[in-house]
Amino acid sequence: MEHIDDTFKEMQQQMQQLRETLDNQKIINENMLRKSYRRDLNSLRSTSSRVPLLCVVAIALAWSFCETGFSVPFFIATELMMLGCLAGSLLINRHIPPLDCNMVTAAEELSKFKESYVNWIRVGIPMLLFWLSWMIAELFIRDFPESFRLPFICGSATGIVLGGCMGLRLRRRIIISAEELLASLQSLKETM
Amino acid sequence: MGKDKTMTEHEFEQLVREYRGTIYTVCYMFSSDKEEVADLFQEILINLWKGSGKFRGDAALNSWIYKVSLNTCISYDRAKRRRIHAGPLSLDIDLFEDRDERARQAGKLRERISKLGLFDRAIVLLWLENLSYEEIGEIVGISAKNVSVRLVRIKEQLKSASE
Repeated sequence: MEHIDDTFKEMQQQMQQLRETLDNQKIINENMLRKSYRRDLNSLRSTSSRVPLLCVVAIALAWSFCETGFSVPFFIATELMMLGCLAGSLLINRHIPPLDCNMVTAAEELSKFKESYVNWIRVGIPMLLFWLSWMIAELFIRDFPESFRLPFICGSATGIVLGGCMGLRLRRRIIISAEELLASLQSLKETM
Repeated sequence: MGKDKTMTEHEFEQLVREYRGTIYTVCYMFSSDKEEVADLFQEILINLWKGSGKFRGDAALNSWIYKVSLNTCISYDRAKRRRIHAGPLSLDIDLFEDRDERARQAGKLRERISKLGLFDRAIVLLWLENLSYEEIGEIVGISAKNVSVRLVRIKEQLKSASE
């Protein structure tokens, strides 16, 4: 490095002082962080409200199992399963904090919300597998015409795969949103 | 942030928090007006956000931030400064207030640097931030040797300006 004369030395000291000043001060207004937090919270609320809506649609569509010849117990079990999913999703969504909630409570509620979404799959997948097994068993035990059985199997398989992928994607999106919100709350706390 | 991965809003906010001092320093050195500094700051944030999708992590993050910040300041069109009215100012700092000795020293530094051309201002600013000649050259687009030659000329210019 070349020889530094007094002018540059002074400028380097001034620059160092400037950076120290900036490091010790808030530069970004916390309002910017709050705005972003509010927007993300509304987005999470909107995304997670799709789950109960889908459950309601499924409850209505489950009637078609009765119409097509599946057993009444299977139909009742399907409806109960969907009602359980609806109740579960509504209970989980209750943990989304309101906008005017204090940060500590908001963080606690969001953590519970996120944990619930992470954990429901441990109940949801066994339940789904049990239901699928019952449906397949009914398809072959009961007296369905061949012209119905094969198309039904193909349609169901497609629906289950597509629905499963979309459901997992939605779940992942919701979990990531909750994690980002928790991080935003942490950033807001640090500005105080 | 890995390659081919778009930055999320949260990652971007983290980035801005980490480099806020760097971005503000660049804005402060390129303007003598408090509102213009705030405008520049927001313009740089917008440009960083727009460019975050193209940033592939193949250059240092520090260099990328400097490049975008300096390009924004150098090409900032003062005649159109009100075209983006982004609402309330997002800055909570005001070094234009003569609060204490630090603010005065920062003002003196800015005054000195403002006597230089825009390109020279960028070079001396990067040098004062302790970047190497190679890093400076990479950011402003000239060779390391050219950087050292320019710095000598800048020193002479500053010396004669203070006499």
